[in-house]
Formats: sequence, structure tokens, C-alpha cells
Amino acid sequence: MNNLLIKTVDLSKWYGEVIGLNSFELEISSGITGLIGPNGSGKSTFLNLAIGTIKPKTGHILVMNQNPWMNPKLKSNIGFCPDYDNLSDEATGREFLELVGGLHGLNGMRLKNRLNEVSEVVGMKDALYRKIGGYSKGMRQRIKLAGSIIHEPKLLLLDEPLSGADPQVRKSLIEVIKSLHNDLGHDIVVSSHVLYEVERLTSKIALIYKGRAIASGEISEIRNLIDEHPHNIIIEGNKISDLAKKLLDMKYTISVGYQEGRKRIKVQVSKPDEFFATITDLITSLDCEIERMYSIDDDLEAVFNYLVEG
Amino acid sequence: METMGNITKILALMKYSIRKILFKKRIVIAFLILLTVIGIMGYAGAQNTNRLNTGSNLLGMLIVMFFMPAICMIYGCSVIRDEIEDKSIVHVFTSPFDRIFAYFSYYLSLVICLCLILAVITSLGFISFFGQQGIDGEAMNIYYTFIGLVFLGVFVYSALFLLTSVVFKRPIYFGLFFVFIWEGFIGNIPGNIQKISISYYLRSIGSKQLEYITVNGATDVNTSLMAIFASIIILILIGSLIFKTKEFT
Amino acid sequence: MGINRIKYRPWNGERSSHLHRVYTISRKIFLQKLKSKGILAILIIGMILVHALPILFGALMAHEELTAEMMVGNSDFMGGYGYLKNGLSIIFVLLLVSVVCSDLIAQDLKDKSFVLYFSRPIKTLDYLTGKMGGAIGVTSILTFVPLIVFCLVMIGTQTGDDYGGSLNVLGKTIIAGILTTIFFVSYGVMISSLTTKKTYAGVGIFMSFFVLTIIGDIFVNFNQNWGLASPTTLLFYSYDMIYGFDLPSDINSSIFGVLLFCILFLPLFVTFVQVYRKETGK
Repeated sequence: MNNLLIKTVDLSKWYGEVIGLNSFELEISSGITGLIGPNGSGKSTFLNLAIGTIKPKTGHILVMNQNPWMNPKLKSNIGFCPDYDNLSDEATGREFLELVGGLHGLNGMRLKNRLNEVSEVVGMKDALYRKIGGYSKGMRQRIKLAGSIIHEPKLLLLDEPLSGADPQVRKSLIEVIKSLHNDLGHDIVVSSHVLYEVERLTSKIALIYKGRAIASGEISEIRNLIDEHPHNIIIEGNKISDLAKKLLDMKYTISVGYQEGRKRIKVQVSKPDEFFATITDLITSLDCEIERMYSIDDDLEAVFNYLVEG
Repeated sequence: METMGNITKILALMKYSIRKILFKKRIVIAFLILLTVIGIMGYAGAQNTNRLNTGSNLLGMLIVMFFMPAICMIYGCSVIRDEIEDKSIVHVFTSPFDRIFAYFSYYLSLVICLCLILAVITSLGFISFFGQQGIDGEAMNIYYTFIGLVFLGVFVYSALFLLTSVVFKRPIYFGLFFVFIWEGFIGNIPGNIQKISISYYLRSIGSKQLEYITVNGATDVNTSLMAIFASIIILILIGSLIFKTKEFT
Repeated sequence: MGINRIKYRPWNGERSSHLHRVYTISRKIFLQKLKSKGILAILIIGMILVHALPILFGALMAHEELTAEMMVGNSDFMGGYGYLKNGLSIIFVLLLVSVVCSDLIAQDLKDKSFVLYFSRPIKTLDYLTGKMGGAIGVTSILTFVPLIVFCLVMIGTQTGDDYGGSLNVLGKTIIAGILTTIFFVSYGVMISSLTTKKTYAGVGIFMSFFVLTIIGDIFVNFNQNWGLASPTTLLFYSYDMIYGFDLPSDINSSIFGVLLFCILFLPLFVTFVQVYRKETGK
């Protein structure tokens, strides 16, 4: 059952002349939701509004049906991992987790047990007694994640948790984040501007651009909605001139263009399903030698580019 | 249950804050001040002087009028401001910890550390002077009076500078203006105008306890104490309310 | 491909436009500081509280000529202290220098932006000259300009015709103004070079100055020469020397000379060594 976790209604936030969010409307339900947008699109502003460190200028935001601003009790159900480095280099990982746990009311054996549990989950058990100043980037991200789950929150807000990490660390952090939902049951909102990483985490996304939520839902659903944008397919092979002429006669074809001599064509179609249903017969009837055929629109980047370029 | 939870949170924040105050490099400043006080008072103690008068004047001038407000300024302006600057305060702002209690935790941590630091400075300064000149009942009376003034001063100056650290982005410049210009000049202008400085009330209390401290138009001890306690309460209340409603961007 | 050696030939030519580089650094500092609201506030309040009244008073008061006594005391003007020996003026200058100089070198140390400067053909001396030039420019608005204005006002409103004597005093005042500016700026820049945190530098400038003043004020009771530990006293005695007055008889002139030399040039030396060490990667 999908519960509504975050709901915004006409939410706006600006800092002087800089607009953070502009009439932002979004609903986020349980599961892992990816918040995608370029730098400066309003992702961090949205997350800060959700955790209640800033307040809206107009409109409102509800997190688990409560207003997060000046609502300390709500924060026992939310874990926040900011995008910036806010760790004290002189403290050890253990001291950091003790502080965060203590601020959430944990003490004694309960804190000690929880500390061991979360450090195990994020893979930091052996490094807890080391100073944070000696941690690598990946370790710092892990300890921040540990701090965000130490109080067993229902909802996790992770602001660019993978930024600055090398590919290997990113891979391991993605596994950790997935396990937080799959194994431990946390609902997660994770923001990023790196589209393919979000695709590895979840298929449920919300796209943000210039302070507005421009689309939300499953990646494939969003893609299907954009039927006014033509689908681009590349076909490579020999004797494909006849195929090109034939495709021009089809109703779903918008344009056909040659690339790299006459060994590759780019076909723009309005109805990709019909295209794929008929292309095999066309190829067979014309005796073409097709080496490769692929769509250049089947990823999130294309979806995003369509939505923002419009 | 909620009370126990709040106590746990207060203690956790206090433990962290006290560790930061006492074990950061900034403690070198307190150490240098300690050496300066010992050096000055030790040298003065080696001279043949009117010991009670000189000792009292030195403690007053050096510690109560100068180093005590300066140390309170240096630490008070940085306790919360440093955490805002390096963004480590996000843990407090994103925890289920009422910010008013959090502010009070910071205040308690600051007061405990500063009382400890200034007690050491005052005590060692006292010993370095009177240790050479002779410690008797009169000298101990001076010591107790100044320790009391120092502790009172710590409470009120800490409240003031903690508030400024929440209000201003560069609270240290306000602190410099306040300690060296406001307290130094306004606090010494005869008449009623000096009553808008904290040092006036501290000196008034001192002048009623010791004959060696003279203040023109000193007010009585009860009025001074009331003014100081009222200032502490008002400053903490205002500071905590501002802290509670502060946005963290 | 094999090895394709790049032959390094050290450049032995003349640097050109290095004065322009110094000017660029100074100009940047000057304009940046004047954009700061805090610095503008200190300048305006300082001008009003410290200088406006004496200038006005001087213009209205009947006087034959501008005399040295008016500048450093020994006359009825300014309650016998003279225009220059003003404690409030020292406080404001100190406040200004704390704000202006605190981040001059400290910020570069923190940001490690020496790379920006020393990857260009800039020497340590050029860098320091540029930085201090900017700071001197801002500080002189409070330490030099009002002095000259005061002198010109007094000369312009004098009733006597001994303009030569008045101009002589003006010349000495220019020297006093330069001394005051360099006195404080070199001290402020030294403190800034000793730390990476500009707030520490700002507090350090103030506190060290006051600690020395307190030491001087306390110990002067035991020996008059201890009074020279106070930078304010040292500066005021320097004014006396500039205007042709003698030091008090119980002040040792050798100690005075050494301390004045130290406070003017030792900070510059310390700053140079600090920056040179950072430039060479230590």
C-alpha cells in the first residue's frame, strides 16, 4: 500500500532575488523516490523544507500529514543526510554517532546497541574509533548515512548522497541505500543530478527544474506521456536507402535522415509502438542488411531534455 | 518519559559542546591569558606595594574589567556561530530536540567551561600576587569577592555573547565594540549613563564588598544583582526565541 | 613515440609591469574594503565622533597660526591633550585596523590562494606591498586625511600671517599621519599573517594591543619606562618627537628608540618571513 509521505501545495521559497522553489506541487509516497534535477533546480531547498530547517514563503508542505517547520517531534520520524560535509574532523565516528543518537534521545545500552547496528549496516564498524578527519569521502558518506538512520526513522531524506564519490564507492553506497529500503523498510527520497545512478536505485522519480516539479511517476510512464515528442531510432546497415524511402511513406514517420554516409539513418517516429510492430516486416520485404538498431530516447536523460526544452 | 528524553538530549549536546570548547585549539588563548595574568601579577607581587589595594586593583582591572569579558566574548561568540558556519548544527536542527532546550544546553556548556577557565586564571593570578605578599583573611575576602564577580560576569556576558552569535554573522566585531568601547567608555562615564553597562553593576557589587574598589554613584548590591539576573533571563529568552525561529540555509 | 624532451631554459629577461601588479593588488583590497558596510560605519562614526568636533571647534576658535602645541598638547586646545593625543581616536583606528587587516593574509592562508599570486611573476615583497598598500589606503582615511583637513582648516582660518610656521606644522603632521598609519597597519598585518582565521586575527589585534596597554599602565607605577610597553604611549611620545618636543626626563631615549623601531619594523619582518615560508611551500 502506497502511503502519502510528502505533499506540497503551491510551495514557494525564495532567498532574496533567488528563487528556490516556485509554486512547487509534488506528492511523494512510500518506497524509494528519486528527486532529479540539475544544480540549482531546487532539490536541496525542497529537502530542507521537508526536514523543517527552513520555512516556506508561500504555500505549504506536509510531511506525514504534519507541518515540519518548528515541529521537533516530527523529526523523530525523519532521517536527514545533507549534501554538504558537516562532520567534525576531530571527533571519531563513534563520538559523532553518540551525539546524533543522544540528540534523538538514545542513551545507555540502547544507544550502544543501535550504534553497533547502524555501523554494521553501513559497513563502518571497524572504523568507528578513528577520527573522521582520516576518513575517505566514501567513509564520510557512510557515517552520515549511519547518523541519519540511528533513530530508526520512517522516512529518509538523502541529499546527493553519492556526490564526490568515486565509481566503486558509488556502487557500494547504492547497494547500502537499496538495502535500507529493501531490508530495513525505510522510505527514502534521494536527490541527485546524475540520472543513471538514480535509475539504478529506483524507477520512481520526480523531475525538478528551475524550482518547479515538472513530472513525477515511473520513468516509463513519464516517457509514454511525452508522445508529442518524436521518438528517435537509429538504424545501421547496408542497402538501407530503400528502407529509408519506405519509412517515409509510413504515417507514423516524421522524418528520416542520413548520417555517416549512407550506412546509418535516424528515423523520427510519432508512434514508436507501431514502428516496432512493423519494422521487421519492412526489413524482410526489402532485403536490407541491418547491423544495428537502437533507440536514443530510452533513458532518463532524453526524458528530462524533452521536458525542459519544451 | 519526555522529560527523561529531553534530559538525555541536553546532556548529549552539553557533552559535545564542552568537549569542543575545552579541547579545541582556541584553548591556547585561555592559556596565554593565564600566563599573562600570572606574569603581570607575579611581577607586581614582587614589588613592595600596598598589597591589598594593589592586588584588588590588579584583579579588578585585569580580570573583571578586561580578560573576563574578553574570554566570554571569544568563546560566547563562537559556540553557536562556528557550528552554523561549518554546518555541524544541522544535527541539532534536524533532531526532535526543541531548540529552546538546545540553546539552553549551549548556554550551560559555555558557562561551565568559562567558570572553570576563569576560576583557574583568577586563582592562579591571586596566588602569584598574594602568595608573595602573604595570604590572610583580608586577602581571602578579596579572592572570594572577585571569584563571585567573575562568576556573575560569566553568566551575564555569556548570555549576551551567545545571543549575538545567533543574531550576527560576525558577532566578534560586535563583541570587540561592546567590550572595548561600550564597557570601557560608557561604563566609566559618571552619572546615570554608566548604568547601561554591565561592568557598572559588577563594580558596584564589588565596591560594596571591598573598600578598595571605588565606583562613583555605585548602586546597592540588591539592585545590581536584580539588574544582572534580569539581564541574564532576558538575554537567554531573546536568544532562545531567535534560535528557535532561525532558518538554517 | 619515444621520449620527446622539453628543454627547460630559465627565463632571464626583465619582468615588466610589476608595479602594475602591485597596484592591482592594492586597488582590489582598497575597493573591496570600502564596499564593506562595517568598515564604512567605522569610518563615518569615527569621523563624526573623533574628528568633526575638533575641526569645527578649531575653525571657530580664534587663533593666530597653527602650532605644534595645538597638535600634541601643552596648550588650552582640546583640553590640553592636543588634537592628536586622543584616546578615542586610537580605539577607532584599532577597530578599523582589526576589521581591515584581519583577513588580509589570514584569508589567503586559509584558502591557500598563495598559488594564485605566486604562480604569477610576483615576489613576496610585491605581494606584501600590494596588500599593505590597500590597507594603508583605507586606514589613512581615518588616520591621515582628517589630520590634513584639520591643519588646512586651521591654516585657512588663522588670523596671523605666519603661514610658513603653519606649513611647517602641516609638514610635521603629514609625517605624524604616515607614522600612525604604518604603526597600526604593519601591526595588524603581522597578526593576520600568524593565523588562518580572520576572527582570531581581528580579536588578536585588539587584545594584544590592550594587553600591552594594560601592562604599560600597571607597571608604569614601578618604573616610568614600563609605560613604553603601551603602544599608545609610544605613539604619543613619537608625536612629541616629531613636533620638536623632548621626551620626559625619566624616559630612557634608547629604550624608546628601540621599541619604536621594533613596533614599526619587526611586524614587517615577521610578516615577510611568514609569507615567504608559505610561498616556498613550508
